[in-house]
Formats: sequence, structure tokens, C-alpha cells
Amino acid sequence: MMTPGGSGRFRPLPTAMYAGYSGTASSWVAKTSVSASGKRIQREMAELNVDPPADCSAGPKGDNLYHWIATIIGPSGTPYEGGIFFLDIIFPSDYPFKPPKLVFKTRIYHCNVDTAGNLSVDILRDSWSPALTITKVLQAIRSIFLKPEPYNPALPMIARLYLSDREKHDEVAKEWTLRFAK
Amino acid sequence: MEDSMVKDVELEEEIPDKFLCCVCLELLYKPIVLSCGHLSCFWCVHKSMNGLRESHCPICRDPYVHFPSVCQKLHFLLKKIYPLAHKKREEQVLKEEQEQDCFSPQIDVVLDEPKAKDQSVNVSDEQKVEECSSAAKLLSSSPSRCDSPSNEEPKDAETLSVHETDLPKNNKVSKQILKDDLLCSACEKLLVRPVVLNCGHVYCEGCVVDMADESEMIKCQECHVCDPRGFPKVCLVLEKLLEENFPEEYNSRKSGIQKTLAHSSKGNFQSYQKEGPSLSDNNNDLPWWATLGSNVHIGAGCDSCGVYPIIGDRYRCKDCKEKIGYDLCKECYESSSKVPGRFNQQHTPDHKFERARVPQLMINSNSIGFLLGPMVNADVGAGSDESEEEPTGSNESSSNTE
Repeated sequence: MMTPGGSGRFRPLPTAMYAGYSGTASSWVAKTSVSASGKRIQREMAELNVDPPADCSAGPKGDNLYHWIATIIGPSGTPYEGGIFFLDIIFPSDYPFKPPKLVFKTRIYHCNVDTAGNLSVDILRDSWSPALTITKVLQAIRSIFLKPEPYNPALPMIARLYLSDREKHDEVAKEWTLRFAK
Repeated sequence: MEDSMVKDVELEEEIPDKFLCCVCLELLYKPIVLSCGHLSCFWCVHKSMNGLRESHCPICRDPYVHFPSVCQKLHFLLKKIYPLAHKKREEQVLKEEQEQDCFSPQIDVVLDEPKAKDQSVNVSDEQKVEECSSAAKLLSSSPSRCDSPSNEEPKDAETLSVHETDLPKNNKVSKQILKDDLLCSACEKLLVRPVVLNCGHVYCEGCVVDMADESEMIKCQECHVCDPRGFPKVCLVLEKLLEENFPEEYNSRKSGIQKTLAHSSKGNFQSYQKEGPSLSDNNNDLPWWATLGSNVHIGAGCDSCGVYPIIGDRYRCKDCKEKIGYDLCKECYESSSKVPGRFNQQHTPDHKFERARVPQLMINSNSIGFLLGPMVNADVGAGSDESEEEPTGSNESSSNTE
């Protein structure tokens, strides 16, 4: 058996290979039907409505099912307390076999979020599993509010401060929350 | 309008979480049980597999390399308990398969064949795979489909006769799970701690331990194919189903079995826990195909044992006309047991094979160096500087440990 969608015996190598990327093969892309991913996203939407995770909400931005917007409320007891953080969610057409792309739209002082709002969260990259849902992803992001992961940083500078001078780190984070997220 | 009807009916059939596929979040359709005991649909497993390297269970991330066959026992059980949702899924999946021109094993059709055969003659010829045609009939005969969901429990004889070909037997038979549906094919008693082999057949855990031969291979008693993976774990969804439907008998069987297991084959049992030859023993940062050289057939799997991707020799059928083709790994090519293709290919034993070569992007050590950038130190040019540094680095680290 060959991956369907291939032209036959000798298929070109997936582009991911040329880049030396060791993640999942892109050879599946061609045959994941859009309707299947759409159906799954709709299921998740229904699930979110019935049982929304704590402090989080998410839903399609407009007509496009593949483009969502999410909010996470900064959990109490953290320097992000009371802030409302917006995220953009883009689902790939071969979702859930590829992870969704999440980007912070609200500026945040956090070692796992870079200046462009990209997250360094392993489940959104190599550790993605098709059994994960947006609900679980949002919960994971909420958990890095409670407990940043300085050893897997997007911004090493903040990670260093977090490890060396937690008080100062929290102070800056609080100030940023006040300035950008309220 | 038709859609709304289907939806209404679906509400009546509430499917518990355990029968929802973790990937598509719908009713499991043609379920496949991985060696870790977790399950999802045929296509969901296939699509989540990695064509480059070993795959991981979506739930527990247990590594695996074999694409197992559909567990027919569970498939027909689900079809029996949730006939409407199952039928909807069947139509949905078949439609997608037709779009892709690539089919999952048509297991339902084989059973329905006697009745469906004479009908399949006058079916539209867009069907390339003959076996699918009777299933396609379900799609094309939309008028009968329209009212079939509304007859959840068809009582009048007239509707029954109309749908006899569409849902043979299943409509008539009650939805109740019978003990006969959940028997171990080895001991012919109610399954205890059910495990599903690579071929999709279900046995008691204890029976499988007994079935293993001296070389520790488990040979399925039904299809006589060896499980290439080692000892599978108990399928908890099946076990729960057993516990719920036959609580007393299951628990008494379970406690009885546990005694014998503890006595006889515990040591034996442990040695099976790990899945066959692991692919990722080398270095996890490095794609394993880089270290193994160029004999990985990316995106090609063995239609007999299901290993994906094929590593080493690969034999491709010259006579199979399906786009997906029919391939065998070296072990399966050399063994006598051949199973039909995983994607409903019409492969027959008289087909001829040829040895397929790896698509040659000649992966030698140098090009890997370029491909992987900093991950691999190619032993050319600029690499020489690093190789000078390396010994000192390793000395340091060893002195640190001392």
C-alpha cells in the first residue's frame, strides 16, 4: 500500500524532509478531506459550548470555520490576574492530524510567548496528538499562566529573569497585564 | 431536509464516550485496536500514522509501526447497537473514499454479498472496485435512505422487505448484545481481559499467552497469521463492554483467569510487553531514517503485516491496478501467509511482484549533514573544527561525572 494521493511508485520526498524537520510526514496532507476536518471542528465547537474550560472561551471569528478567536482570563494568584488575553486560532485543512496554530493577539510578558505572540508549547509542535482538542490546548495554555516553563522558552531573557529574580519578573508581568490586557 | 431527519434520529441514539473515536470524535467506524489497547477508526489510525518513522498512539503516545487490521468483532457490535449512527457513518466514509478513490476494507459487503449480488449489476459504473458497488447502492438509492432512518424499529412487514438489502439482518435482530457476540475464538467462552491481535481478531489475554510458540510469536488461530508486534495490551473499551453487559459472568471469569495467570505464565508474559524492534532506540533527536541509511520506503506500507513505513526490501505488485498499489515487506514476501490488501485492493496470489527501490535522493552522510544542519556534524569541511573541540568537550563531561 502506498499513501493515497501519491502519483505511484516513486513519490517525491515530502518537503518537510528537505528542511530536516523530523515531525510528521506531510504525505498525508493531500488525502485528508476538508469535510472531515470541518466536521471535527464543528464537534469541538459543540463540545466547547456544552462544557467550556475554566476562564477560557473560543469560537469562530466570522464565517470561516477554520479561523477562531479565543480568550483566556488571567488566573488569580498570578501576575496575569484579571487580564483578558486574546488568541487567534488557525486550523490547518488536515486538522486534527496537524496542530492548530495559536497566536497571542494581546501582548503578554511570559517566557513561553515571543514578541510576535507565538507560543513555545510542545503540544502545539512535536508533541501534538490528534486526540488533543482546542479545549485541552486552551487548558494547557492556561496552565503555563500558572506555571511558566522557563526551560522551554520562547524568550530566554524573560526565562532567565523568571529563574533568577521571580519578584521582578512578576512585577513586570503585572505591569504588562495592566497596560495591555485590561 | 434529509439532513435534519438524520439529525433527529441521531439524537435518539446516544453514543457513550467510550465508543467515540478520539480523533474524529464520532462513532467508531471500522475500529482498529492498537497494541496499547487504544482504538480509533480505520482512517483515523491511518491518517495519524507517520510515513517517515514510527507512529505514536494518539492517546498514550505508545510507539508502534504496524497498521493493524480492523477489529471486525467490535465493528459488527457497534453496527448492531447503533444501526442508525453506523449507517450514517458508513455513507459518510464511503463518500469520502469515493472522492479519494481509495477504500477501506469492505467488510460489511462480504457478509451481505448473497443478497446484494444481483443488485450490484445495475449500479452506476463510477465504482471501480466491484466489491464496493453494493455499498454504493446505499448512497445512490437516496429515496429509500430518506425514510429508512425514520423506521428505527420497523414494525410493518412492508418497510422491512424494502430495506432488507440495505440493512440485512441488523434491522430485524434486536440491539441487545448477546454472549455469542463476545466469545473468544480460542476458548469459545466469554472473553476475559480481551486483547486484539494485529489481524484484528480478539482473544482472552490468557489464551494469547498460551498461543505463543517457542519463538514467542503469537499466531492467530483464526487467520493463521503471526502478530509481528509482541504482546498486545488489554483493550479497555471491550473490557468495559463485557463488564457492563455480563457483570457476573465476566467477574467470575476474570477472577478465575487471574489465578491461573499468576501461577503459570507470569514470566512469559512480561517478556512480551515491549513492542517488537524499536525504531527509536538510537537518538531521538535524529530522524531514524537518517541513521539507517536509504532503505526506508517513505509512505509505503506492507499490506500483509501492516508495517509502515517499510524498511529494507519492499516488493510491489505489478498487477494490482489500484492507485494505492499492493506492497509487501521482505518478511511477508518470503512467508506463505498473504492477506488481502489493507485498502480493498483486488490482489490475488497469481499476481507478480517486483522489488521496489527506495526513491533515490541518495541519502549519504554528507547530504544528511546539509539536510539536518546543526543536528548532524558532517565529517567534511567546516566539521573539522568541531571535531577538534569535541574530544575536549567529552573529556570535560566525563571528568565532571567523576
